[in-house]
Amino acid sequence: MTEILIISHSSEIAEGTRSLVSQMAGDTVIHASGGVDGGIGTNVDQINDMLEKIGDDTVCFYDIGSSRMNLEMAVEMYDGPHQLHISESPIVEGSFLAAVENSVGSSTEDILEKLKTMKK
Amino acid sequence: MNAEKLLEQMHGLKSIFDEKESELTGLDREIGDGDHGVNMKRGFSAVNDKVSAGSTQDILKQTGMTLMSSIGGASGPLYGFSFVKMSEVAKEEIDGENLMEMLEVFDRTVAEKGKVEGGEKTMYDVISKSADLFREKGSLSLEDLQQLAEETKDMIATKGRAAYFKEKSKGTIDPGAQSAVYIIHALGEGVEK
Repeated sequence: MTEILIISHSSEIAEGTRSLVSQMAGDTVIHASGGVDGGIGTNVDQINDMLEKIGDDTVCFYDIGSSRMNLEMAVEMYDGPHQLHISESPIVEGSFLAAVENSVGSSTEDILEKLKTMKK
Repeated sequence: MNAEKLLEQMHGLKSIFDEKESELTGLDREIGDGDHGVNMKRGFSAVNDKVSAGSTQDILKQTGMTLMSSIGGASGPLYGFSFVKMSEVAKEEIDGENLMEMLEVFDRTVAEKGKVEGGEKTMYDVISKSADLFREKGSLSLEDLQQLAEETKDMIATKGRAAYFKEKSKGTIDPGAQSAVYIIHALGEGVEK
């Protein structure tokens, strides 16, 4: 089953988005992380650590600035068995949509398609 | 350049960035958030502590992974990831041809991951011209590399933190361009066409 990864500059945004999404789609596996060293930021190591824990194909969401670059680098270095997809959709709305679609049985491809055409 | 010399060069960047910390901090205070000097120093201090002997590929990859995890912001990941990508093309003896190949990978990686083009007052203005410089001069001297960094003085930043300073960014060398001078010099020192 498709999993969701959330990387934010802020731990509160990451955790807040996780709890929002979990409430609607509790059966979806969500990997969320935000902030670096107790402050604002993202880094590649943190994303590498999350990628080590994924158990299936994963749709990844990022927020602002360098989170995209760090996510792209981690995805490019990933050599595990699962497919990783980076979504350009906004982190809250996108992960919410993906989790709801996932909980009603949509395939990863369908989820990505829905994300592409999503409107807020 | 063989693996032994490369390791010495990578470790040697620690003392370079120790020495240049205040210079980079000064530039970054003018047009950024003032942390580039301390970031580069921290990054290469970690490289000096953690990167150990191995093949040229191992050394470049270890250097990259260390930089990625020890420097925040955009420059650490960009330098780090570039080292990881350069490690994929490095030969056991880095000759002129191989150095050019590595510099081209460096160029492509920063362009693609940093979403940057030339003339935007960034590290890319030094990185993207270094392969041509080597082709033209047959080696990479500190003076010639410094000239590339000097050219960023008159540019107006449109990328990174410096972009907020717009016209005010004129007159200062980009701190990333300046740190790129030291890194590329270390990679190419003693290598000739």
